[in-house]
Amino acid sequence: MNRALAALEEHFAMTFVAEGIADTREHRAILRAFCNADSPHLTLEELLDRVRAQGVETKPDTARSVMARLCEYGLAREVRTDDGQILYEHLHLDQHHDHLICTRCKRVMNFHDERLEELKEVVATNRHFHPLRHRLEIYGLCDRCLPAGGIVRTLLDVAAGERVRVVSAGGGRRFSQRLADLGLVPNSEIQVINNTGPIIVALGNSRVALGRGVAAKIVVR
Amino acid sequence: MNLRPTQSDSASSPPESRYNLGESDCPIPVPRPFTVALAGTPNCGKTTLFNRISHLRHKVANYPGATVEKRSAIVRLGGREMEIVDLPGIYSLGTESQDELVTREFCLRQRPDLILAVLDATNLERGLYLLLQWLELGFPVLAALNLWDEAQALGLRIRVERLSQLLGVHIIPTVARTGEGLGALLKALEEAARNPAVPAFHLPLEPPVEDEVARLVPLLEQRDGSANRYPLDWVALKLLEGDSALAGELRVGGEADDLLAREIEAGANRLRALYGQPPAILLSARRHEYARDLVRQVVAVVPRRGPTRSDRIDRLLVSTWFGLPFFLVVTYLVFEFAFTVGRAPMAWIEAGVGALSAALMSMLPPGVLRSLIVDGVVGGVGGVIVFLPNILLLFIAMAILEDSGYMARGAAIMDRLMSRVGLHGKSFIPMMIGFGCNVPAIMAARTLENRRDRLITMLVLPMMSCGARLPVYVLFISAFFTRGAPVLFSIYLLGIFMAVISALVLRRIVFRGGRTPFVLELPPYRLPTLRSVLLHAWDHAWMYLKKAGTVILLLSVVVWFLSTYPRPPKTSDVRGPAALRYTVAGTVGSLIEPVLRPIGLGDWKVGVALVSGFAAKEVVVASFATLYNVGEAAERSSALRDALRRDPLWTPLSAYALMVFVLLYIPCLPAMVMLRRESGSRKWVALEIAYTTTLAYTVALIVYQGGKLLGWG
Ligand SMILES: Nc1nc2c(ncn2[C@@H]2O[C@H](COP(=O)(O)OP(=O)(O)O)[C@@H](O)[C@H]2O)c(=O)[nH]1
Ligand SMILES: [Mg+2]
Ligand SMILES: [Zn+2]
Ligand SMILES: [Zn+2]
Repeated sequence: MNRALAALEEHFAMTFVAEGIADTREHRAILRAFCNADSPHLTLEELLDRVRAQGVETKPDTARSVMARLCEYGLAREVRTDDGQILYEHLHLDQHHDHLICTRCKRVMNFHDERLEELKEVVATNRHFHPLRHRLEIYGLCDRCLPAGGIVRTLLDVAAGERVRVVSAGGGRRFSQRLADLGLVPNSEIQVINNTGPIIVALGNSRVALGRGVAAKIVVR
Repeated sequence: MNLRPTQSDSASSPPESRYNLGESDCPIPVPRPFTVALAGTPNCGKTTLFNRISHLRHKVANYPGATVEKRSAIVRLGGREMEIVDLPGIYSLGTESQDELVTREFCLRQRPDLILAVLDATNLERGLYLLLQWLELGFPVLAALNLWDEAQALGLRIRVERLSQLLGVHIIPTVARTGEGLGALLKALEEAARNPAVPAFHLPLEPPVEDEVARLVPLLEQRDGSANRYPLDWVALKLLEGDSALAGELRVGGEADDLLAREIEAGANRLRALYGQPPAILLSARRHEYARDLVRQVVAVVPRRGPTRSDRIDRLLVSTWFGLPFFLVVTYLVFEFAFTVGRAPMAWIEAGVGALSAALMSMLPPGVLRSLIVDGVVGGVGGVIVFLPNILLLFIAMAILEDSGYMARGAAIMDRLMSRVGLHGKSFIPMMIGFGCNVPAIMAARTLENRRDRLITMLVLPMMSCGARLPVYVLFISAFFTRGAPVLFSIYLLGIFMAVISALVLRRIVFRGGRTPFVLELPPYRLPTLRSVLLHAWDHAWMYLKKAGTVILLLSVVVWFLSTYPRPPKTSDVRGPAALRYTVAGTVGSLIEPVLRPIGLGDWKVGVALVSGFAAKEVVVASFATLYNVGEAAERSSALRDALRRDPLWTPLSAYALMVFVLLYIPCLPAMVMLRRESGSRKWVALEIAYTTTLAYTVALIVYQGGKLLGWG
């Protein structure tokens, strides 16, 4: 954890510089406060308290933006409780929950269901099996990847003028590398310019022509 | 040995002290000038900038051998020699496509002293994506923010100062097309040469990736020096990304039990499991993200993002129903242009050559020397130079297509058709270039990523009728046909048709297997500049002239000798054309004559001309000029046409059969040399020669015999 934390700090220091944020001491304090926290969930208030405990003053807005970054990098998760409060959750801290994993967009959703936990116990004891630990992962397509009609859309199905997000760009290794170099990476936003004949897509200000065979392998939402 | 001449002892820590450069490949310890590599994505204006800078050149050189596609110029800046190198465009250092490897290899192996990164200001993210990779490598970088005018027109306001600070790289806005900003760029170059600073840069990575890199670096340290040429964490990252070229260079996994290779694989697998993506894609996304973050920081106004003018044009020109027909019309117009407009200047050159030989005739005393100069040299070379206007016009038209951005659309439009016949959309551009000259076209086939696609393209490409064949057609068409353009177009179409058939056959028999998918970036439509079009066309015209001055001159003299000696025995009173029978050419030609008779070309002169045409197809004309002028030296060289008309051998049908044969038979020697180099094997050259000759004969036979049956003979 310590090496990882040190590397993480370094990483953020660089990002902060790139973002034009001058003082990084404050941010590091926030980072440290979150990573070293004992509980898996922190409210913003709790986080600010822990930062102040390090002798650093910070504003809620700053803390919020740092946490937003951490969420972006997949280290934290924002959980909105029913009463509208925001909790920051550590991802992969050791508290039991099960996973729903979308095989297309790789989204991971956690769930915990007491009935299921009990059933697992029952199954094990009936077989005279003593469970130490368990894991349950359900693979499939999430609601974003499988829209109402249940149809998977590829670039071929996108009308000219429509703007979409790349979910995955398939093909061989070399080929997906080439697409990635051009900027067709998962989650990038593209617009279809032409859809009769070869497909032309816009990535920012550049235009890329794709054969129809290629377009069929690019899944979008 | 250290190849860097002067700056290595400067006080500020120079870049080469960071890494061990001890094992350079180059064995010759010549001090080399400060080398500046122009690197950037395709179409960001590198070549335009290069031409601007090398305007101050005292020498522009082509690299020999495998590196012809790099151009370099030595310029003197601030009292110092600099070598500026123009390289093919790349999107990423992780490339595996043939053409882009040239750039990568040059930069990694030769280590230029400075990378002049050319950025497309209208597409900053992509340029930065590449620039970051130079910084990761620890190269000194200076950046030209080119196409500044187009960015302004788009309403992009880029804070150059800020970008400069964020990257630690000096950035100069330029408009290569007009030369704006060039002064500042040259000053910055001068400054950078005096004091090459390496910006400290480290791509921020997620901790798990950092951990994997940290695991590999000690292993790399333990290995022999080969990896020390590069920053080790860069090497580690690249190996995790699965960079096979680098792995090959460092001989990773060379031995059966390589700890490093195993660790790399294990690390890559861990990352793949963690992120659900191959490390290469993960890091590519990370670099894009970083570049995008930078862009957000410095681009003040995001422009309106509706369809641009280019997009609106494309919706028409690339659409299914309009795209292809329009494309075919454009291609036809190219030939019409080259043929029709070229007529007048051709007549002037003809007249000039005629006047010259007439003058020489009256100045020189009759005899062998006069015959050599007038029939051999002037007749041969003059017969070829006459076609310079056609060549020049064809290249001008091609340059316009290329510079306007339409050529890339052509590739996209043709992909569907091309894929039906076993070719690839990208085969199209080499084939188009093939209409100019097969030699660069074979080289251009490198843009095809898949080896099978590349080989098929290279093998069928010589059926695209190159500019060197044009003189033959023009000669015979103007002698035997009243309407030129349709006949010419039919010959070109026949070439295309034969290429298609051959591709189908090759795909079925020799190269089975799938095709690589089509992806090509489309540059925005631009008005071609007069300057670049003329430069482009002139480059090729100059090559043609040089060929006329060397190979063709030499061959004309050889053909003259062969068709002059040995002379008929003194005792016989054979005179005039009949005397040719005794010469070497006459003997060779007579040997081939029976073979050529079924295709309507049963004359020893044709045999000689065709054999000589193997060196370069224009020589066919030069040879006819020499062969027909022998014994009638009083004729002006421009009268070759009349000489042909008088020869009963020639009818429109036999002339057409000859054109077909010239179109299809053995591609010229330089093209074969290039094919040998690019295909890496003599086998393909042998196949090509055998195949094309057989094909040429068969098709000419069908044309001639079929034509006779139809009563056209
Ligand atoms: N408007 C504008 N066009 C440019 C500029 N620089 C280059 N071009 C055009 O961009 C196209 C591609 O340029 P080129 O030098 O061939 O790009 P390369 O592929 O990077 O070598 C050509 O049509 C140039 O005329 C510039 O600064 N402004
Ligand atoms: Mg170029
Ligand atoms: Zn979990
Ligand atoms: Zn999903």
